[in-house]
Formats: sequence, structure tokens, C-alpha cells
Amino acid sequence: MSEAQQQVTEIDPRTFWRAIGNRAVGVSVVSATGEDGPAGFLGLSASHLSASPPLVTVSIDANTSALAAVRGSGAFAINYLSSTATEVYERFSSRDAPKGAARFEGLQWQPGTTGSPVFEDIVGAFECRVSELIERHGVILAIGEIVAVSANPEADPLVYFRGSTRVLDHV
Amino acid sequence: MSVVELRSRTVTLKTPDEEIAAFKLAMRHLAGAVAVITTGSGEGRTGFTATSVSSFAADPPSLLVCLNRDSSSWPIIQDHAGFCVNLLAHDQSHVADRFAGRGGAKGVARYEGAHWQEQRSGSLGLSNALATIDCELEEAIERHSHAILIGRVNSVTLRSEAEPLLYWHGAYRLISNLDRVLTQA
Repeated sequence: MSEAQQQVTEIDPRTFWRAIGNRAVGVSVVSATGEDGPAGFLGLSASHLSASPPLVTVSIDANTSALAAVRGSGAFAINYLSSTATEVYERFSSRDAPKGAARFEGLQWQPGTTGSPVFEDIVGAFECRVSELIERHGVILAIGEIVAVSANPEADPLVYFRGSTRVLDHV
Repeated sequence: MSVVELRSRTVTLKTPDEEIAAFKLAMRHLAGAVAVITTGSGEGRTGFTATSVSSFAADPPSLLVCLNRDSSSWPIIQDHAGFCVNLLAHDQSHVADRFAGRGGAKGVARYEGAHWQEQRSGSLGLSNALATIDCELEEAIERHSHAILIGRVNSVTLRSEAEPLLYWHGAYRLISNLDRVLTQA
């Protein structure tokens, strides 16, 4: 093992998030429409599951307030943000940002096929019907069947790596 | 399923084949880290390249990996009851290619050309990976063609002086602004 490597075998939450933060990921906002209007959260755990049927997964902490909107509407959208969406990112990542439906005020979005908000500044969005909600360790694994796809081929993705957002190298 | 191309055109899809094609096309737009998942022991070692690794819970620390049940790794991972997630660094795309089956290498032959260290689960961790995260297989949730593997984290090894290898629009990519962040979390 080289000096630049460090092994840890006692995995506390801080160590876990530091390790998983090495997994660069396209930043997404997961959105749904509930009784109180639009709701959403930063979804860094969104992943693809299968192509046939087209399924995706996202992990939602049981304490996340937007979970009620996902349960109630039976739908959600995964919005993969573009590099121009820093305002959307800050609204959903900052502790000082407004909560609930107020988070969406002034941002560019519209209700998609399922009613879940779809943002304008995205590389793509998956609109899903909830196929299943599986609870383990206080986290809900939501499996969604994709009913509509939006794609903006001209956009560059916003990437999250080691605690901050990045853009891709185009060389 | 319908496909909407913002600022350009709208296409509605009617057949399952069109749905699959649309899903795969849409997935190309999503940037993701490249990981090699290793499992098995001795001559039974195997593994695969994946972009579908995600965080799950912090307490207990656990993550998810999606795996096609047609994969030759699926029976091995069940027997072995553990696996290691190797997040690749910028200089390890050749490892991704081997574990994706490019060049035809199968099973234990995929490990050639790189250095490995045995982890607590018995799986091999890639030396100088951006991060190696060794896991016990806690549960495999089977849905349709795939299994969602829940891995309980045993240990992590991090490499500080490296950039992540990414996959986007069908090619490996690097991050351009490692020294300049757009926003701070």
C-alpha cells in the first residue's frame, strides 16, 4: 500500500460518507408533488436498475419530508442537473434554503407526465411511477418504473465529487 | 414511455424495443463513476464493471450495486457472500475494460495486469484505486432481470492523490475543475 493510501476498518458514518464521496455522481434532484405542492431533495443515490422493464432506484431516508409526496402521489422524477443549474443545486443543498414547496419558487420547472416537477436546466430526467418501496435500516429504497424520459443532448452534467460540484473535461 | 428532447423534438415510443433503446440512450447523458466489482476466491474469482453503485444507509454503513442475473458473477457473489467495490482512478481505464469483457478475458483472467490485495471478505481490492470499499453481502433483492445487492461495508481504503474515472456519452471522462469548485456543499 502506497503512502497516499489509507485503510480504515472502523466504519463510522463520517468515514462512510467520506468513502462514498469518492464515487463521482451526476447530481440529481428527486421531485414529487404532494398535498402541499412540489417537494424534492438532493438525490445522490439515484441509480439505474434494468432496461427492460426500465427501472431506476433511489434511496430516501425515512425522515426526508418529501417522502410523503412520493408515497402520496405514487410517482417521482429524477432530474439530472446540468452544469448551468447551480441555483437549483444550492436551493436543494443549502441548510439556509427555504423548505417544502418554497424551495421551488423562482426556479425554472414544470409538472411532467406524472405531475412531478421537471426542471429546465437538466441533462435528462426520468419520470417514474413507484413500483415498490422497500425499507431497510430506516432507509426507503424506491424502485421506479420510467414512464417518460427527457433529455437535453446539448447540456453538460453537474457532477458531485468529494463534497463539491464539478464539470467534465472536454479534451 | 415517451421521450421528450427538450429544446428540440418530442418522440413517443410504442414498443418495448423502442423503450429499451430510449432508456439506454437517456442513460448515456448521465455521468457516473466507473467501478469494478470483485468477488470469489482462488480460481473462482470473477468480477464485472459497473456504474450502478450507490450509497444506501450510513448506519449501518451500506451501499447498493445492481447486477444482471445473467452475469457469470451472480452465482459466485451469492456463494461468496461478499464483494469489493473498487472505484477507479483516472489511470485505471484498462482495468475497467478487462472487467467489462473487452478483449474476451473471463473470470480470474480479468485480474491480470493490475495489483490486488485480499480484503476481509476474501475479495480482492485494487491497489491504488480511488477507493476500495469491501462489503459483506447483506441481502440480494431480485427484481426482473436484475438483483439489487445490499453490501454491508467492512473496510474502506482511500487514495488521495488521484482523480476519478468517469463514463459519459459512451466514453471515459475526467473532471476538468478539480482545483475549482462550482459550489460548496
